[in-house]
Amino acid sequence: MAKFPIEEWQAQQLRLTVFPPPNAEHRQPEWWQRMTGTEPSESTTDRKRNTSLVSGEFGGGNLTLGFSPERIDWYLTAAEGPINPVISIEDIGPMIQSVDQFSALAERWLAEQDIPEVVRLAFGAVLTHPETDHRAGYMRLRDYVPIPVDPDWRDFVFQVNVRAPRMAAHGIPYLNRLSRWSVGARSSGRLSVSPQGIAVAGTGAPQYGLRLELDVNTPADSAGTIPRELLADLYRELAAASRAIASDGVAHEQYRLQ
Amino acid sequence: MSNTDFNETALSPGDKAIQAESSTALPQDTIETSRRRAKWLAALVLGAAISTGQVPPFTHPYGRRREEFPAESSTLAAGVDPVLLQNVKDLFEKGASEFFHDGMDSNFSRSLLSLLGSRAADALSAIAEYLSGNEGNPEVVSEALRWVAEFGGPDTLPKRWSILRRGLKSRFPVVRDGAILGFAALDDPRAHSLLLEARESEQIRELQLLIERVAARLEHRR
Repeated sequence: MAKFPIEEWQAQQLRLTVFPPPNAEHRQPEWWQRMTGTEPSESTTDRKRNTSLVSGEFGGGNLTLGFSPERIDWYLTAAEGPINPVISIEDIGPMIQSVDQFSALAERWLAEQDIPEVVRLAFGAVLTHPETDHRAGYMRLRDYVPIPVDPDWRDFVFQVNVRAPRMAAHGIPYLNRLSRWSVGARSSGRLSVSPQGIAVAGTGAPQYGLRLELDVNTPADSAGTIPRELLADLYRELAAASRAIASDGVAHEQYRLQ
Repeated sequence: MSNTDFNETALSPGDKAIQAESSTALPQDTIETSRRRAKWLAALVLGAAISTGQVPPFTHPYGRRREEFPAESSTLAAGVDPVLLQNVKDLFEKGASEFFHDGMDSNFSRSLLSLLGSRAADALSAIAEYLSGNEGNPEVVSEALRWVAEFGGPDTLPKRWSILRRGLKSRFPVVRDGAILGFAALDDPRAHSLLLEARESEQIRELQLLIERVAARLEHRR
């Protein structure tokens, strides 16, 4: 089975995470509105845990800005709403368009003057590709991971971080390129709620899919801050590295395990 | 999604946990899911209301699945391991029967360091979670803050900082004392302004003086 064009990946979740230095004051929920030009639909705060979330519709998906004591996250996930019969209920849409849309917002935000200093930057994605059945999914894996996966296997997961010495000139010794590969099935069900309780019944055959979880990021143990003028470029590097893994897998020569 | 390799299910809209189809382990998110039962039921009702009965995706960025061996380079927001949280709770409760001496280790500190040594970031998350829900025994918390401050490298600094910062705002003077000493142990000049802020609201003279001494030392380090 051959690799498929990168355009066929569906995005299930996209994420930008920045880690400010510990002394940074970095909570500005208004960033959500400033970046999207619309009002968020939900805003919640957990005072005990010192976390908060702002979220709302964005580009056909649901965009969330999350704050916790150690990090700021932007998440794009599938919108809650009427089910699109063409794509999964959990998919945002085609990966290429979704990443482009998300990246435009991410790069604009990273160029804002009131964001905190950043000591670590990450781009994450969860991608899926529909497969006809379990066997097809496992055969597909062979093209993307450096292991001769047997289609009779079950519960196979492959995870690897292949570091890339990309940004040494800017004081960032390497990028972590973490990818996790698996095959899964999705089934839907019918729920009925009555005074007697909740009844659940499965409907239809399961839909199989190749799944790729990406987490491309700068090292955790860097003590210094990343120069502000470098953030957008660095984000583009992270997103490009993610696209390369989605396109080529980790079986390609450049990712071969030594 | 139901299970083949990643067992997601639209019928159980908790964490998008991936668990092996053939696994016999307890679902990783049983506890969190039960805590979120009200929201889950709301999703069920909504699911029942729409024509196909499918439940909309349920997203909670700060509740990713836990894994036995999380990738060291991962930047996903880690959920707190309920078993580890229980260990922390037991440890802090057991520590209440001890008497602590300044600068001396104890059964509590040895157990705490052992926990941090084996599960560093996860243990710190569990400690933060425990302290967010419980004030605990102030003497034990104070002791913990001093040891937590000294343990680990730059990768765990934000978590340790966050725990100490919370301690500075405790209503118990002994906990604030532990947090100030913790910041002294961190010896990070970036804490200077934070300590000055704490000095403004501190009412106890001894703690005011302690803050001033630590802040002066950090000022000198800048």
